[in-house]
Amino acid sequence: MEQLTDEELVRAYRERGGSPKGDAWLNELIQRYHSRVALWCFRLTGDREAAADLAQEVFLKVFRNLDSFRGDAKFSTWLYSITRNHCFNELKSRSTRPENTGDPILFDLPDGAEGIHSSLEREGASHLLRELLAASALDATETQVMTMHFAEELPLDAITRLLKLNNASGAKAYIVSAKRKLNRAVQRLKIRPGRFGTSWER
Amino acid sequence: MSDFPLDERSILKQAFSATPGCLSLEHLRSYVETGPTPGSHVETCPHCQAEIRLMREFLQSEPSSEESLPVQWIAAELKRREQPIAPRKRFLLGSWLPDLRAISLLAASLLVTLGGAFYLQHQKDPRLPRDYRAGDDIMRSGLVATMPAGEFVHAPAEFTWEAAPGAARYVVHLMEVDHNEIWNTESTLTRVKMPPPLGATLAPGRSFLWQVDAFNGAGRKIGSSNLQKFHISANSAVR
Repeated sequence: MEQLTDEELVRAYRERGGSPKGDAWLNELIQRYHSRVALWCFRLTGDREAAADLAQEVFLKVFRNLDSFRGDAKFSTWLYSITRNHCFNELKSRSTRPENTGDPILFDLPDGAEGIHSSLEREGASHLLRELLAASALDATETQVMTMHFAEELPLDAITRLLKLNNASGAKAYIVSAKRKLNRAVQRLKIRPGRFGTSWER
Repeated sequence: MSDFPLDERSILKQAFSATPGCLSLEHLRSYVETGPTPGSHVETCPHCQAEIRLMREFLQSEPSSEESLPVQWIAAELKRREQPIAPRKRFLLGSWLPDLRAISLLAASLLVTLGGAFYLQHQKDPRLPRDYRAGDDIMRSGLVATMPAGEFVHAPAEFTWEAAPGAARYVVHLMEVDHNEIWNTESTLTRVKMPPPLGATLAPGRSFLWQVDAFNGAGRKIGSSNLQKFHISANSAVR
Protein backbone atom coordinates (compact mmCIF):
# COMPACT_ATOMS: atom_id res chain seq x y z
CA MET A 1 0.00 0.00 0.00
CA GLU A 2 2.91 2.33 0.79
CA GLN A 3 4.17 2.04 -2.78
CA LEU A 4 0.95 3.33 -4.32
CA THR A 5 0.69 6.95 -5.41
CA ASP A 6 -1.96 9.20 -3.87
CA GLU A 7 -4.02 9.02 -7.03
CA GLU A 8 -3.83 5.21 -7.11
CA LEU A 9 -5.04 5.12 -3.50
CA VAL A 10 -8.03 7.31 -4.40
CA ARG A 11 -8.81 4.98 -7.31
CA ALA A 12 -8.51 1.91 -5.11
CA TYR A 13 -10.76 3.50 -2.50
CA ARG A 14 -13.39 4.34 -5.09
CA GLU A 15 -13.37 0.79 -6.44
CA ARG A 16 -13.81 -0.73 -2.99
CA GLY A 17 -15.42 2.17 -1.16
CA GLY A 18 -17.48 1.29 1.88
CA SER A 19 -15.63 -1.97 2.56
CA PRO A 20 -12.98 -2.28 5.29
CA LYS A 21 -10.37 -2.69 2.58
CA GLY A 22 -11.55 0.43 0.78
CA ASP A 23 -11.44 2.40 4.01
CA ALA A 24 -7.90 1.19 4.64
CA TRP A 25 -6.82 2.76 1.30
CA LEU A 26 -8.44 6.00 2.34
CA ASN A 27 -6.88 5.99 5.79
CA GLU A 28 -3.44 5.39 4.29
CA LEU A 29 -3.95 8.34 1.94
CA ILE A 30 -5.13 10.69 4.65
CA GLN A 31 -2.44 9.74 7.12
CA ARG A 32 0.20 10.62 4.56
CA TYR A 33 -0.88 14.23 4.92
CA HIS A 34 -1.55 14.47 8.65
CA SER A 35 1.78 16.14 9.41
CA ARG A 36 1.67 18.47 6.44
CA VAL A 37 -1.81 19.76 7.23
CA ALA A 38 -0.93 19.84 10.94
CA LEU A 39 2.12 22.02 10.27
CA TRP A 40 0.15 24.41 8.07
CA CYS A 41 -2.65 24.75 10.62
CA PHE A 42 -0.19 25.15 13.49
CA ARG A 43 1.61 27.97 11.70
CA LEU A 44 -1.65 29.72 10.97
CA THR A 45 -3.11 29.45 14.46
CA GLY A 46 0.01 29.28 16.65
CA ASP A 47 -1.87 26.95 18.99
CA ARG A 48 -1.81 23.17 18.85
CA GLU A 49 -5.39 22.59 20.05
CA ALA A 50 -6.81 25.16 17.64
CA ALA A 51 -4.63 23.69 14.90
CA ALA A 52 -5.89 20.17 15.61
CA ASP A 53 -9.49 21.39 15.35
CA LEU A 54 -8.77 23.24 12.13
CA ALA A 55 -6.94 20.25 10.62
CA GLN A 56 -9.82 18.01 11.62
CA GLU A 57 -12.24 20.27 9.80
CA VAL A 58 -9.99 20.16 6.74
CA PHE A 59 -9.98 16.36 6.64
CA LEU A 60 -13.72 16.24 7.17
CA LYS A 61 -14.08 18.48 4.13
CA VAL A 62 -11.74 16.20 2.21
CA PHE A 63 -13.91 13.16 3.01
CA ARG A 64 -17.09 14.98 2.11
CA ASN A 65 -15.73 16.23 -1.18
CA LEU A 66 -13.63 13.30 -2.27
CA ASP A 67 -16.14 12.51 -5.01
CA SER A 68 -15.35 15.86 -6.60
CA PHE A 69 -11.66 14.99 -6.97
CA ARG A 70 -11.43 14.37 -10.70
CA GLY A 71 -8.01 12.79 -10.73
CA ASP A 72 -6.66 14.99 -13.52
CA ALA A 73 -4.74 17.09 -10.96
CA LYS A 74 -2.45 15.82 -8.25
CA PHE A 75 -4.23 14.84 -5.06
CA SER A 76 -1.80 17.00 -3.06
CA THR A 77 -2.83 20.07 -5.09
CA TRP A 78 -6.49 19.31 -4.49
CA LEU A 79 -5.87 18.79 -0.79
CA TYR A 80 -3.86 22.01 -0.66
CA SER A 81 -6.69 24.01 -2.21
CA ILE A 82 -9.14 22.66 0.38
CA THR A 83 -6.68 23.31 3.22
CA ARG A 84 -5.79 26.78 2.03
CA ASN A 85 -9.37 27.92 1.41
CA HIS A 86 -10.80 26.45 4.58
CA CYS A 87 -8.05 27.82 6.83
CA PHE A 88 -8.05 31.26 5.25
CA ASN A 89 -11.83 31.52 5.48
CA GLU A 90 -11.77 30.44 9.11
CA LEU A 91 -9.06 32.92 10.03
CA LYS A 92 -10.79 35.66 8.09
CA SER A 93 -14.05 35.04 9.90
CA ARG A 94 -12.32 35.15 13.29
CA SER A 95 -10.10 38.17 12.76
CA THR A 96 -10.84 41.85 12.41
CA ARG A 97 -10.17 43.80 9.23
CA PRO A 98 -6.59 44.27 8.02
CA GLU A 99 -4.58 46.45 10.33
CA ASN A 100 -3.85 50.06 9.57
CA THR A 101 -0.09 49.75 9.60
CA GLY A 102 2.54 52.07 8.19
CA ASP A 103 2.27 55.38 6.44
CA PRO A 104 -0.63 55.77 4.06
CA ILE A 105 0.09 55.67 0.36
CA LEU A 106 -0.67 59.17 -0.90
CA PHE A 107 -2.81 58.68 -3.94
CA ASP A 108 -3.99 62.25 -3.55
CA LEU A 109 -7.54 61.55 -4.63
CA PRO A 110 -10.78 62.73 -3.03
CA ASP A 111 -11.92 60.69 -0.07
CA GLY A 112 -15.48 59.82 0.81
CA ALA A 113 -17.00 60.12 -2.63
CA GLU A 114 -19.21 57.24 -3.70
CA GLY A 115 -20.42 56.21 -7.11
CA ILE A 116 -18.85 55.60 -10.49
CA HIS A 117 -16.36 58.44 -10.23
CA SER A 118 -14.94 57.15 -6.98
CA SER A 119 -14.86 53.52 -8.06
CA LEU A 120 -13.08 54.45 -11.30
CA GLU A 121 -10.51 56.33 -9.29
CA ARG A 122 -10.07 53.39 -7.01
CA GLU A 123 -9.70 51.09 -9.97
CA GLY A 124 -7.18 53.45 -11.50
CA ALA A 125 -5.17 53.52 -8.27
CA SER A 126 -5.23 49.72 -8.03
CA HIS A 127 -4.16 49.48 -11.64
CA LEU A 128 -1.30 51.84 -10.95
CA LEU A 129 -0.19 49.76 -8.00
CA ARG A 130 -0.31 46.62 -10.09
CA GLU A 131 1.95 48.22 -12.65
CA LEU A 132 4.33 49.29 -9.92
CA LEU A 133 4.31 45.78 -8.53
CA ALA A 134 4.94 44.29 -11.96
CA ALA A 135 7.91 46.65 -12.23
CA SER A 136 9.34 44.97 -9.09
CA ALA A 137 8.68 47.85 -6.73
CA LEU A 138 8.54 45.34 -3.87
CA ASP A 139 10.65 42.35 -2.98
CA ALA A 140 9.19 38.83 -2.86
CA THR A 141 8.47 38.80 0.87
CA GLU A 142 6.86 42.25 0.83
CA THR A 143 4.65 41.16 -2.07
CA GLN A 144 3.77 37.97 -0.24
CA VAL A 145 2.89 39.73 3.01
CA MET A 146 0.84 42.44 1.26
CA THR A 147 -1.08 39.81 -0.73
CA MET A 148 -1.84 37.71 2.32
CA HIS A 149 -2.81 40.66 4.47
CA PHE A 150 -4.78 42.81 2.03
CA ALA A 151 -6.09 40.33 -0.55
CA GLU A 152 -6.64 37.35 1.76
CA GLU A 153 -7.22 39.47 4.88
CA LEU A 154 -5.09 37.24 7.08
CA PRO A 155 -3.96 38.59 10.44
CA LEU A 156 -0.34 39.67 10.68
CA ASP A 157 0.65 37.15 13.36
CA ALA A 158 -0.59 34.27 11.19
CA ILE A 159 1.38 35.59 8.22
CA THR A 160 4.49 35.93 10.39
CA ARG A 161 4.28 32.29 11.45
CA LEU A 162 3.30 30.90 8.05
CA LEU A 163 6.18 32.63 6.30
CA LYS A 164 8.56 31.97 9.21
CA LEU A 165 9.51 35.65 9.49
CA ASN A 166 12.08 35.90 12.25
CA ASN A 167 12.49 39.68 12.48
CA ALA A 168 11.29 41.42 15.64
CA SER A 169 7.99 42.80 14.34
CA GLY A 170 7.34 40.06 11.79
CA ALA A 171 4.91 40.74 8.94
CA LYS A 172 4.17 44.24 10.20
CA ALA A 173 7.67 45.42 9.24
CA TYR A 174 7.15 44.19 5.69
CA ILE A 175 3.83 46.06 5.42
CA VAL A 176 5.53 49.26 6.59
CA SER A 177 8.44 48.91 4.19
CA ALA A 178 6.19 47.89 1.27
CA LYS A 179 3.94 50.88 1.74
CA ARG A 180 6.90 53.18 2.05
CA LYS A 181 8.29 51.88 -1.24
CA LEU A 182 4.92 52.13 -2.96
CA ASN A 183 4.46 55.62 -1.63
CA ARG A 184 7.81 56.70 -3.00
CA ALA A 185 7.03 55.11 -6.35
CA VAL A 186 3.66 56.88 -6.50
CA GLN A 187 5.27 60.22 -5.69
CA ARG A 188 7.86 59.70 -8.43
CA LEU A 189 5.07 59.05 -10.90
CA LYS A 190 3.37 62.27 -9.94
CA ILE A 191 6.52 64.08 -10.95
CA ARG A 192 6.72 62.18 -14.22
CA PRO A 193 3.06 61.84 -15.22
CA GLY A 194 2.03 59.50 -17.98
CA ARG A 195 4.99 57.17 -17.60
CA PHE A 196 2.75 54.22 -16.90
CA GLY A 197 -0.18 55.62 -18.89
CA THR A 198 -2.78 54.74 -16.29
CA SER A 199 -6.29 56.16 -16.22
CA TRP A 200 -5.51 57.38 -12.74
CA GLU A 201 -2.63 59.50 -14.05
CA ARG A 202 -4.81 61.04 -16.64
CA MET B 1 -15.69 56.43 6.25
CA SER B 2 -12.29 54.81 5.98
CA ASP B 3 -9.40 55.62 8.25
CA PHE B 4 -7.15 55.27 5.19
CA PRO B 5 -6.91 58.04 2.61
CA LEU B 6 -8.91 57.20 -0.51
CA ASP B 7 -10.07 53.97 1.04
CA GLU B 8 -6.51 52.72 0.75
CA ARG B 9 -7.47 49.31 2.07
CA SER B 10 -9.83 48.56 -0.81
CA ILE B 11 -7.26 49.82 -3.32
CA LEU B 12 -4.64 47.51 -1.86
CA LYS B 13 -7.10 44.64 -1.79
CA GLN B 14 -7.88 45.17 -5.45
CA ALA B 15 -4.21 45.54 -6.36
CA PHE B 16 -3.09 42.36 -4.63
CA SER B 17 -6.09 40.17 -5.45
CA ALA B 18 -6.34 37.70 -8.32
CA THR B 19 -7.12 39.10 -11.76
CA PRO B 20 -8.96 37.33 -14.60
CA GLY B 21 -5.55 36.49 -16.04
CA CYS B 22 -4.34 34.71 -12.90
CA LEU B 23 -3.79 30.96 -13.08
CA SER B 24 -5.65 28.30 -11.14
CA LEU B 25 -3.89 26.43 -8.34
CA GLU B 26 -3.69 23.37 -10.59
CA HIS B 27 -1.75 25.37 -13.18
CA LEU B 28 0.37 27.13 -10.58
CA ARG B 29 1.44 23.74 -9.22
CA SER B 30 3.75 23.27 -12.19
CA TYR B 31 5.66 26.41 -11.14
CA VAL B 32 6.26 25.19 -7.59
CA GLU B 33 9.34 23.22 -8.54
CA THR B 34 10.47 25.23 -11.56
CA GLY B 35 9.64 28.86 -10.70
CA PRO B 36 8.07 31.26 -13.21
CA THR B 37 9.10 31.05 -16.84
CA PRO B 38 10.38 34.27 -18.40
CA GLY B 39 7.66 36.30 -20.09
CA SER B 40 4.83 34.42 -18.45
CA HIS B 41 1.96 36.04 -16.57
CA VAL B 42 3.32 34.52 -13.38
CA GLU B 43 6.62 36.35 -13.73
CA THR B 44 4.96 39.76 -13.28
CA CYS B 45 1.91 38.86 -11.21
CA PRO B 46 2.32 39.42 -7.46
CA HIS B 47 -0.78 37.40 -6.68
CA CYS B 48 0.32 34.30 -8.61
CA GLN B 49 3.81 34.55 -7.14
CA ALA B 50 2.36 34.73 -3.65
CA GLU B 51 0.19 31.69 -4.37
CA ILE B 52 3.17 29.70 -5.62
CA ARG B 53 5.15 30.50 -2.51
CA LEU B 54 2.23 29.50 -0.28
CA MET B 55 1.79 26.23 -2.11
CA ARG B 56 5.51 25.58 -1.80
CA GLU B 57 5.24 26.20 1.95
CA PHE B 58 2.47 23.62 2.17
CA LEU B 59 4.04 20.96 -0.05
CA GLN B 60 7.71 21.24 0.85
CA SER B 61 8.15 22.94 4.20
CA GLU B 62 9.37 20.83 7.11
CA PRO B 63 8.73 21.65 10.77
CA SER B 64 11.44 23.53 12.61
CA SER B 65 12.83 22.15 15.87
CA GLU B 66 10.24 24.19 17.84
CA GLU B 67 7.42 23.04 15.58
CA SER B 68 8.26 19.34 15.60
CA LEU B 69 6.62 18.42 18.90
CA PRO B 70 3.37 20.34 18.39
CA VAL B 71 3.05 18.95 14.86
CA GLN B 72 3.59 15.41 16.12
CA TRP B 73 0.99 16.02 18.79
CA ILE B 74 -1.54 17.35 16.26
CA ALA B 75 -0.93 14.43 13.88
CA ALA B 76 -1.40 11.96 16.74
CA GLU B 77 -4.51 13.81 17.82
CA LEU B 78 -5.92 13.61 14.30
CA LYS B 79 -5.28 9.88 14.22
CA ARG B 80 -6.91 9.46 17.61
CA ARG B 81 -9.99 11.41 16.58
CA GLU B 82 -10.45 9.49 13.37
CA GLN B 83 -12.85 6.62 13.22
CA PRO B 84 -11.34 4.49 10.51
CA ILE B 85 -14.45 2.46 9.82
CA ALA B 86 -16.76 3.90 7.21
CA PRO B 87 -15.20 7.35 7.51
CA ARG B 88 -17.60 8.86 5.00
CA LYS B 89 -20.42 8.52 7.45
CA ARG B 90 -18.82 8.78 10.81
CA PHE B 91 -15.38 10.32 10.56
CA LEU B 92 -14.72 12.54 13.55
CA LEU B 93 -18.32 12.61 14.63
CA GLY B 94 -17.62 11.06 17.98
CA SER B 95 -15.08 13.65 18.98
CA TRP B 96 -17.05 16.54 17.61
CA LEU B 97 -20.37 15.89 19.15
CA PRO B 98 -19.90 14.51 22.62
CA ASP B 99 -23.31 15.84 23.68
CA LEU B 100 -24.95 13.83 20.94
CA ARG B 101 -23.96 10.63 22.74
CA ALA B 102 -25.76 11.69 25.88
CA ILE B 103 -28.79 12.71 23.84
CA SER B 104 -28.72 9.40 21.97
CA LEU B 105 -28.52 7.47 25.23
CA LEU B 106 -31.45 9.39 26.65
CA ALA B 107 -33.46 8.86 23.47
CA ALA B 108 -32.58 5.16 23.45
CA SER B 109 -33.68 4.75 27.07
CA LEU B 110 -36.94 6.50 26.30
CA LEU B 111 -37.53 4.28 23.27
CA VAL B 112 -36.86 1.12 25.27
CA THR B 113 -39.29 2.22 27.97
CA LEU B 114 -42.00 3.19 25.50
CA GLY B 115 -41.34 0.10 23.38
CA GLY B 116 -41.58 -2.15 26.42
CA ALA B 117 -44.85 -0.59 27.48
CA PHE B 118 -46.22 -0.94 23.94
CA TYR B 119 -45.10 -4.57 23.75
CA LEU B 120 -46.76 -5.46 27.02
CA GLN B 121 -50.02 -3.90 25.88
CA HIS B 122 -50.03 -5.44 22.40
CA GLN B 123 -48.73 -8.96 22.92
CA LYS B 124 -49.89 -11.39 20.24
CA ASP B 125 -49.59 -15.11 19.80
CA PRO B 126 -46.28 -16.13 18.29
CA ARG B 127 -46.27 -16.62 14.51
CA LEU B 128 -44.10 -18.72 12.25
CA PRO B 129 -41.95 -16.97 9.69
CA ARG B 130 -43.62 -16.40 6.33
CA ASP B 131 -41.14 -18.70 4.59
CA TYR B 132 -41.62 -21.50 7.12
CA ARG B 133 -41.93 -24.98 5.64
CA ALA B 134 -43.06 -28.04 7.50
CA GLY B 135 -40.12 -29.82 9.07
CA ASP B 136 -37.97 -26.70 9.45
CA ASP B 137 -36.52 -26.11 12.88
CA ILE B 138 -37.56 -22.79 14.32
CA MET B 139 -35.25 -21.58 17.03
CA ARG B 140 -36.18 -18.69 19.23
CA SER B 141 -33.31 -18.61 21.64
CA GLY B 142 -31.22 -21.70 21.04
CA LEU B 143 -28.37 -19.92 19.31
CA VAL B 144 -26.16 -18.08 21.79
CA ALA B 145 -23.35 -15.74 20.85
CA THR B 146 -20.76 -16.16 23.60
CA MET B 147 -17.50 -14.30 23.00
CA PRO B 148 -16.40 -11.58 22.61
CA ALA B 149 -18.56 -9.84 25.19
CA GLY B 150 -17.66 -7.05 27.60
CA GLU B 151 -14.47 -5.04 27.90
CA PHE B 152 -11.33 -5.77 25.86
CA VAL B 153 -7.88 -4.22 25.95
CA HIS B 154 -7.15 -5.39 22.39
CA ALA B 155 -9.41 -6.25 19.50
CA PRO B 156 -10.68 -9.78 20.21
CA ALA B 157 -9.07 -12.56 18.22
CA GLU B 158 -12.16 -14.66 17.48
CA PHE B 159 -15.92 -15.02 17.73
CA THR B 160 -17.46 -18.06 19.39
CA TRP B 161 -21.04 -19.25 19.85
CA GLU B 162 -22.96 -22.31 20.96
CA ALA B 163 -23.95 -24.83 18.33
CA ALA B 164 -27.54 -24.72 17.11
CA PRO B 165 -29.36 -28.00 16.41
CA GLY B 166 -29.81 -28.57 12.66
CA ALA B 167 -27.37 -25.81 11.67
CA ALA B 168 -25.08 -26.59 8.75
CA ARG B 169 -23.37 -23.23 8.66
CA TYR B 170 -23.29 -19.90 10.43
CA VAL B 171 -22.92 -16.31 9.32
CA VAL B 172 -21.33 -13.86 11.74
CA HIS B 173 -22.12 -10.16 11.47
CA LEU B 174 -19.98 -7.48 13.12
CA MET B 175 -21.69 -4.12 13.49
CA GLU B 176 -21.19 -0.70 14.91
CA VAL B 177 -23.50 0.29 17.73
CA ASP B 178 -25.90 1.88 15.25
CA HIS B 179 -26.25 -1.60 13.66
CA ASN B 180 -24.40 -0.68 10.50
CA GLU B 181 -22.59 -3.80 9.40
CA ILE B 182 -18.80 -3.55 9.24
CA TRP B 183 -17.98 -7.09 8.25
CA ASN B 184 -19.46 -10.57 7.95
CA THR B 185 -18.14 -14.02 7.37
CA GLU B 186 -19.31 -17.59 7.13
CA SER B 187 -18.27 -20.69 9.06
CA THR B 188 -19.31 -24.30 9.42
CA LEU B 189 -17.77 -24.38 12.91
CA THR B 190 -18.88 -22.58 16.05
CA ARG B 191 -15.98 -20.19 15.99
CA VAL B 192 -14.33 -17.90 13.51
CA LYS B 193 -11.16 -15.85 13.71
CA MET B 194 -11.24 -12.10 13.35
CA PRO B 195 -8.89 -11.15 10.49
CA PRO B 196 -6.00 -9.06 11.96
CA PRO B 197 -6.48 -6.19 9.45
CA LEU B 198 -10.08 -5.93 10.59
CA GLY B 199 -9.02 -5.99 14.24
CA ALA B 200 -6.59 -3.16 13.51
CA THR B 201 -9.40 -0.97 12.24
CA LEU B 202 -11.54 -1.35 15.36
CA ALA B 203 -10.90 1.95 17.07
CA PRO B 204 -10.08 1.96 20.78
CA GLY B 205 -12.68 3.60 22.95
CA ARG B 206 -15.59 2.29 20.89
CA SER B 207 -18.19 -0.44 21.26
CA PHE B 208 -19.24 -2.99 18.68
CA LEU B 209 -22.13 -5.40 18.28
CA TRP B 210 -22.12 -8.83 16.74
CA GLN B 211 -24.62 -11.55 16.02
CA VAL B 212 -24.62 -14.95 14.40
CA ASP B 213 -27.27 -16.47 12.11
CA ALA B 214 -27.68 -20.22 11.66
CA PHE B 215 -28.64 -21.85 8.35
CA ASN B 216 -29.69 -25.43 7.70
CA GLY B 217 -28.39 -27.68 4.93
CA ALA B 218 -31.00 -26.32 2.51
CA GLY B 219 -29.70 -22.79 3.04
CA ARG B 220 -32.68 -21.67 5.07
CA LYS B 221 -32.14 -19.43 8.03
CA ILE B 222 -33.16 -21.32 11.14
CA GLY B 223 -32.25 -18.89 13.84
CA SER B 224 -30.44 -15.81 15.01
CA SER B 225 -28.44 -15.38 18.17
CA ASN B 226 -28.72 -12.71 20.77
CA LEU B 227 -26.98 -9.44 19.95
CA GLN B 228 -23.64 -9.47 21.74
CA LYS B 229 -21.67 -6.35 22.61
CA PHE B 230 -18.00 -5.73 23.31
CA HIS B 231 -15.96 -2.61 23.95
CA ILE B 232 -12.29 -1.88 23.27
CA SER B 233 -10.64 0.25 25.94
CA ALA B 234 -9.72 3.78 24.98
CA ASN B 235 -6.13 3.36 26.15
CA SER B 236 -5.66 0.24 24.06
CA ALA B 237 -2.33 -0.10 22.27
CA VAL B 238 -3.78 -2.31 19.58
CA ARG B 239 -3.18 0.00 16.62
